[in-house]
Amino acid sequence: MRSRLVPCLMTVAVLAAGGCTAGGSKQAPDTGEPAVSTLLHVSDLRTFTLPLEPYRESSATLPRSAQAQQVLIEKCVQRFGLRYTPPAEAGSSVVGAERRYGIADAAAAREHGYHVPPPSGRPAPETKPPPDTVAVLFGDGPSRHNGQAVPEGGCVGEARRKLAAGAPAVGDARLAEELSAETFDQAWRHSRARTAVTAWSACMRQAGYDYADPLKANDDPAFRTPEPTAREIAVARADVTCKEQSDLVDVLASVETAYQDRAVRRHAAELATLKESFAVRERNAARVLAGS
Amino acid sequence: MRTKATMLLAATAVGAFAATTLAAPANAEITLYDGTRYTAGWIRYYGSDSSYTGDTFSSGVALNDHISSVNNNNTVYTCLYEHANYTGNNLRLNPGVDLLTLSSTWDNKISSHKFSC
Repeated sequence: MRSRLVPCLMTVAVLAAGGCTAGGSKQAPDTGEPAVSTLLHVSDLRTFTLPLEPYRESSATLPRSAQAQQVLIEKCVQRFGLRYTPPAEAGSSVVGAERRYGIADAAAAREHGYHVPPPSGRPAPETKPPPDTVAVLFGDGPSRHNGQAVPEGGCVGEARRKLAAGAPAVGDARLAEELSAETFDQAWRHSRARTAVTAWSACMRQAGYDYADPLKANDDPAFRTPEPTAREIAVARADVTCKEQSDLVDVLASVETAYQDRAVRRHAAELATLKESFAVRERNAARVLAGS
Repeated sequence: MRTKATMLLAATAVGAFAATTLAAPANAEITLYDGTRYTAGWIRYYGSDSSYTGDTFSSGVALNDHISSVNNNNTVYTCLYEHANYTGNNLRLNPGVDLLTLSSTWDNKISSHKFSC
């Protein structure tokens, strides 16, 4: 079971009034707005990790499972006389929490505006999967293929069941996803974040651009062009500059961390079960990979 | 009992098809629906899309902020984002996991998606 002390230790820089101390000896009150007296200094959002991240399933959280799943799927599909090519993942151009609070990288803004740069490496060809392969992969076609029964949920379902064998039952597998969404909204409503957003907006106005918050600038329909326009690049550059001047990214990251620490404390038991299920899956995955 | 195959067949009959903007892993597709339970207009992608602006469902309705269910034929993790350019909050989908009804947190709020996230 996760120690109630851990969230305090995870964010010693985020001190809630009357709550966590640097020594972690006191608990933050679990209601109202958490006080954030010291800001985290996030130099690179690509490597910044929020407290709920270890409870959110991904190829980063479960690297061996993600790899083993492809191996199991491939073997399963072969049983049906079909060929399955595991996805060749092109290097992603947006990594981790890089765009969680909008664009924050001056070089990217200068080159691409708000547009997402093309992924690194050679892109995989766009492929429409053959219908019989899709049916066997996901189990949404005929119940039999080449005389063999298709597993429930197809080969993807079978692979997931094999990897989850022996894992504790998880009540709400989407809990961390929902909590993450909730804390994101809470963070933007926090008084400290609202002050920073107001400062950001004033900074943008001084630069000649009128946006209430960075997400509205990001979503400006005028910027939905195949290539970034000169205006988009100018706005994106001002956006990054104003974020730096207003400490907006540090404020949002600090406030959201405080809210997520609170969520982890409130849901400690459920999240501990989720984490244990991840650990079992990773152990199963290691065995699969060792035998492949 | 899943009815995905039936719904996809019905959608195909309408004849809509989505362009893609980024690299697609092989054997990967995602179909987004205007209504819950794979109903109303739909659009299918074989790769990531960093902005839905300009994209429409088969019914002609603009895609932005109108997605209510997701049919995820994907063997990799997929992320759905609240804002364009993979920005803001994101919802992760496990391989092969569909969302018959998006929760109120996400219903009508998706503006971009990325495979292999």
